[in-house]
Amino acid sequence: MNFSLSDSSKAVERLNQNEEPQDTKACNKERDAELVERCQKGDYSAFDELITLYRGKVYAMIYNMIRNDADSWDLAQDVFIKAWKALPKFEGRSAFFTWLYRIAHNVTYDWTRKKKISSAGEFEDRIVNDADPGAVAVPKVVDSPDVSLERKEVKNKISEAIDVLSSDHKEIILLKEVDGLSYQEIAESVGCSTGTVMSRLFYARKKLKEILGDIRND
Amino acid sequence: MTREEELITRWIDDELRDEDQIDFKKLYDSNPELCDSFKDVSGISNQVLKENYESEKEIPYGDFFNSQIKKKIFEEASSPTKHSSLLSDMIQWIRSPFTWTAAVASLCMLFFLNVPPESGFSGNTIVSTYSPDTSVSIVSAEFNEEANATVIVLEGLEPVPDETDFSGNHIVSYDRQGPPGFVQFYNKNDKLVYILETDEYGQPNVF
Repeated sequence: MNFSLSDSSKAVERLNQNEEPQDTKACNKERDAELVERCQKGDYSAFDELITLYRGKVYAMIYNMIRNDADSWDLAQDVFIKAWKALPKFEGRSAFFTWLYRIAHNVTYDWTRKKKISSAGEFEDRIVNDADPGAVAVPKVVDSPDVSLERKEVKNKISEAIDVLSSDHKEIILLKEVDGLSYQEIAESVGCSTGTVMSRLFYARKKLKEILGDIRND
Repeated sequence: MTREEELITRWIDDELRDEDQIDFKKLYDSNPELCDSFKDVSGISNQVLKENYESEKEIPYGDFFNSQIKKKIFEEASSPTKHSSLLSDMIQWIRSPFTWTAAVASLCMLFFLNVPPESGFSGNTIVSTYSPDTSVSIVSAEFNEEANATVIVLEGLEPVPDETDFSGNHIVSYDRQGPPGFVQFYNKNDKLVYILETDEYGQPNVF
């Protein structure tokens, strides 16, 4: 199966179209700074506005990691309660949302640790080895009627592979590809260097490439 | 991470800096297949991620979510003592010989007076109330000693059909495992009595 460069380029173009323009980001940053300042003066209504603005993003971020509605709902509440308590110390050196993501990251990791969900496992080889050659059809002709089904199957394999990435790698690839954050924003959100961000992204893509290569060879 | 890996990663994510441009051009010219294969994978995984994950997800019961945060924050703020001082006070209190004497005396009095240990509510209870449907208002919510039940008076509900039988359904516990808005209610025999579930429009349904 050939996924041409043009396919991926189109996907990247689509992603870029979905990303927030820089001026909107700057505008949001300004708006957040104003709301944060009001919060720091004790204005709870400003915090309520911040909750309404970011609850969907925080909820999605947690849900993407733990895939459970009820727990994500509860953890998202914890995030905002912790944020309110920590707001007096917030100096605005980073954007409010990256600071909030950092809290969400810590809350989610604390929870998973308590739940004893192992995050040590990297890619499991069984995903690669268990790939059933019969189940993964390889289109020989691009315009075959089965193309969409086959492509779906490949996507399923990739999706499975993403699911078994370690929490660290999965979180970073989600923040990059789904949330569209820059290296710097991801680094601030998860509390690591931009070098680590790049390294984890490269590692995750390398593993996905290996899996895709195996599927193509079958 | 090697310089080569960094350049490929930066190129895929459109994060090449000015100082990387020349190095990357050299790398691409020497091995275009390698660079393109990574970009291929990135494009596919990006599609998969976009299809399976969302950057923003509407939170169920958004207003309730906000109101609960406010409630918790103000409850904690109005708490008179901090946890650390409360803990040290408790330790001091337990260490006190008077505490042990008082505890023994209380147990003796209970034994001689034969006071049965009561459980449950002992008076009126004010509960937190919230109605997702703005046309329904909560008139009152309190524990009624005579009925031995919590009575919640609602205004604005649709008439309840006469054939609905509520008798004998004294709820003593509930379980909210599952998606938000899904609650199972049990009676004193641990028998499932009601299931409360919300429909696609966020309206509560009782089964």
